[in-house]
Amino acid sequence: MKGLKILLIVLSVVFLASIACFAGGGGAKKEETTAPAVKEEAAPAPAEDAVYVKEWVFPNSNIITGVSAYHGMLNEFGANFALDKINAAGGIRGVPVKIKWFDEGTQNSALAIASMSKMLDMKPLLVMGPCSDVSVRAAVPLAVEQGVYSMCTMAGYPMAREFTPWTLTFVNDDKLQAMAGVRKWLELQPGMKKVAHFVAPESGTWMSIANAENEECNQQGIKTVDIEVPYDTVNYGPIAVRALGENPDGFIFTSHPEGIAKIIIELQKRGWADNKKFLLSQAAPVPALYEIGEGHLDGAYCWMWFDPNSKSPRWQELSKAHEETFGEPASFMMVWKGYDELFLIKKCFEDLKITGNPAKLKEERIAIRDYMNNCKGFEGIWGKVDFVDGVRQTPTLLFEFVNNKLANPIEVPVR
Amino acid sequence: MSLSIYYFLQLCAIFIMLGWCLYLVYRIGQLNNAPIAIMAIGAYLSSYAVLHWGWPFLLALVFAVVCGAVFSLIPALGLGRAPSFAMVIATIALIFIMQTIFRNLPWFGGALGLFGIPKVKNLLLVTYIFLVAIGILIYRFDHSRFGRAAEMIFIDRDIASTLGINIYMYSVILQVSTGAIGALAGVLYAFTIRTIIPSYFGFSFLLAITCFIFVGGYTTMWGVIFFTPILWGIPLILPQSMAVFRNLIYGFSLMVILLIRPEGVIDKNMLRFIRLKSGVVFKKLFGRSQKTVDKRLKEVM
Amino acid sequence: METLIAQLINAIALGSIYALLVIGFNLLLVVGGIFPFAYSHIVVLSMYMCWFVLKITGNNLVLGTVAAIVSGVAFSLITEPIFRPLAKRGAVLGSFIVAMAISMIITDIMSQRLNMGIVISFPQSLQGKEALVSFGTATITAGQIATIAGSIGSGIGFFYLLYRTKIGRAFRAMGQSSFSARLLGIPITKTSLFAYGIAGFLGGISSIFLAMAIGTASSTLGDNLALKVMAVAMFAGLGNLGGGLIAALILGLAEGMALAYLPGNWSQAIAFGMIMIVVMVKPKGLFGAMA
Repeated sequence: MKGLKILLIVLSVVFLASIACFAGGGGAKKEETTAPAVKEEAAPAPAEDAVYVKEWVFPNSNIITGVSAYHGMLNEFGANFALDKINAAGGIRGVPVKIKWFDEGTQNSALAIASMSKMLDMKPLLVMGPCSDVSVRAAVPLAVEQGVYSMCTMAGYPMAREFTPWTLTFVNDDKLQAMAGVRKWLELQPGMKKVAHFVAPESGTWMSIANAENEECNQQGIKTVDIEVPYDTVNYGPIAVRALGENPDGFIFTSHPEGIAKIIIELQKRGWADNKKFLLSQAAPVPALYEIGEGHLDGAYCWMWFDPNSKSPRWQELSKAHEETFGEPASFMMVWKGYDELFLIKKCFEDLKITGNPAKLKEERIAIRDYMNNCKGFEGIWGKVDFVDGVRQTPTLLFEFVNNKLANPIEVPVR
Repeated sequence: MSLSIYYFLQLCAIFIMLGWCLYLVYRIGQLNNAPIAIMAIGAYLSSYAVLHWGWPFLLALVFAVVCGAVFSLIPALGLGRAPSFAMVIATIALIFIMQTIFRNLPWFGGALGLFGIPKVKNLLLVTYIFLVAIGILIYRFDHSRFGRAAEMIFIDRDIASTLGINIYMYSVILQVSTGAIGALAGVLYAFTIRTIIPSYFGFSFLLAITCFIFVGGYTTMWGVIFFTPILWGIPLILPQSMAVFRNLIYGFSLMVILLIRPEGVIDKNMLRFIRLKSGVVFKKLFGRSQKTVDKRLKEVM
Repeated sequence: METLIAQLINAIALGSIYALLVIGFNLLLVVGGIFPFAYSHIVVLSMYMCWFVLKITGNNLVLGTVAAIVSGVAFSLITEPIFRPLAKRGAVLGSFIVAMAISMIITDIMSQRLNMGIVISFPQSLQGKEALVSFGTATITAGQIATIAGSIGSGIGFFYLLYRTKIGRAFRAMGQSSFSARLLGIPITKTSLFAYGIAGFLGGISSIFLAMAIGTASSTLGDNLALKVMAVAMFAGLGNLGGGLIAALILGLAEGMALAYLPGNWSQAIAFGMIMIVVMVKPKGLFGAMA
């Protein structure tokens, strides 16, 4: 009886607490100074431009749980690495920076919205994330309604563009990038009449890239045939057989990476000898591709929008830290996006002299939006890069596989 | 109202409705997962009606609920007599079939689903009106002869049929009603989140709802009411370092409760206990004190 | 014609793996008295353990195989005390929910902790991907031959155990009626433990064949396999060991053919469509249920 009583009391308290926590509007807000006019520093900063807050807190919607949790883990790694560097150098405008992470789950629209609503209750200056396309579509409308800028650096191009001008995308128009990659490949491998294209029908982003690639081929008079590769395929033999049955001259791969290596192996088993007639789309070079495809990939082409073997010193630093933590050098694109995101925020806040004053919240949010949409000359991790209309202007890089590594990048300007 | 409270209340109401769907059919001992599949139907049909045919919200809602009820009739007729396992597995199969259908039909947006669903005024009010109405209906069902018949079926099917209870009819009627409630939950979900993807109405969602109802208690309707906000809300307020354990919390709480207290936390005894104790408290707060009673008696005497 | 043969061989290899899994599944169902939904997840966990050992020992195939089998048995035995109170009460549906909870936990551990949640891939030497026999586009690889032969061998071994040994008789007795089995003096707990052990052993072997056939594993593989195995068991009739084998081959064939000739992502729909139809028309399964 007594046990039941205690259980009941505990349950009621917990239930009330969960409601009360939401009434409080979520976790740590930006800490505010007690009296707005107090000047603590001896340095004579003009009153209007003085930083109002003791600590910058940015909410970040990240994939923490679910099957894609490693995306979130890498994003968090990159962002924390940048965070440590920025705080070691004095923070943004002399004030330390903190990130508050929120979970958007994997393909979980309800959780994404619940997290975004909590993030918006913090009355932030901007919102970092959401990560996945599904979460962007579900959660960003909330941010747009409240007039908050979302840095959807990890999402695909079409999804982020849906909410322009309130979103930022770190990838160039992927249709144009894909077409540039295919154009260069066709230039290097002339004489093909028909191309079999392995596509992933479940992913909207990849399908739009695949359609763009097909368009480029068709424009050059080459027939394309789509072969669908479902995500839960266990056996790639039948798919390879079906593709070979179409008698193509070359293959383009825009399906999920683990399958690509297996399909290539199946094709080679059935007698296909010319690796140069393979073109892999971006997002293919992941560790699984190299592990499974070892020895089978050399000679194939791949287009990407960043160079994982870049000699840029900041990238080397990040890659080394990644190797120390995870055991292998950085190769996923999620790692550097979190990094660049924070440095972009730093540049933006310093150039605009953002104060964090709640009275100026609305105007500062709009100022941030306008700045980030058209930021010129940002020192990204790969070098200087421009943002035009909320889109990062990057060229396509066409690589060749040499000794199971990406090599010989050719820069192809996006038309 | 703060944004996060709005969405918390809204989503809890939807999950409670779905929990009740599973609860209703489990009253006769059958674990029917079809409401999740019918939820997808409700969500898609109502959004399609509003987006492409320009129907008003209430008309689309009625349309979706009717369609949901009709669709759930098909498996209900076949599964009414099925042994309990057959129903569980067949309805899980139904969830996957629905997912595949919606993912492959071009009119429903394929893998990306439907989006841009317009806002509905006072959606929270509408949701809670429906929630309370359904709650009252379920309460009346539980405390009527139908509820007692259902309990008899749960305890022993053979004795129930000797008592003249037509198990097949009960099964079909309950499945169709839960189909309607599931479709309703789907409509409300679609207009809350305003974007629907086929992969949401899948196996992991089923696991979450199963967790809510079995931890809460499947013998009464109150278990779902209390434990849905707790299990949905606590992972949202956990500190950052613990947020990663959300699914583990669901799995472990489900396992532990089923082993230690198989009927769930809130069972009939606990309800009786709550009623008793709240009666005592109520009497103390609002009832007449012994002194007043004595005085009145003296006056009468 | 050659394409058809290639598809057929693929399908048979796939079906033979499902057959092994269904044997273990039905064994646990009949003798353990529980619904082992988490069985496939334990198999995938064994694949992960095999991969770890291969990584540590530098692709020592023997050690990897041993690791897979040992972890299969170990994980299976770990779940035995969790299911014991449920089996005693005869709460098979309750055990299904508990198994779903265990599968949630295992999937979460695989997606967060093991290899950071990234897909693991097995070395080529284990996969046996070189074509042994080939005629045109149809090839048979060493891996496929090993899988089919191994599955047949394990199946024969298991049926030998079931019909020619004392413990097999105990299994069959418990399957028919655990109450009568107890009356006859069959030690229920010990037999149950043995059943878990054998199911784990079969699971370990299946995990090696899966590693050969698929070559990769991820956290979602557990759920995929579990649903397919459940579908096959339901299709054949729960607890029907012989029928399960045939049903597994049929499912493998149907899936292989669907993947080869049907557009889109219909393979899962086919498997589940079959289940729904069978359940509605013949709820005890095509070949009759024993449980």
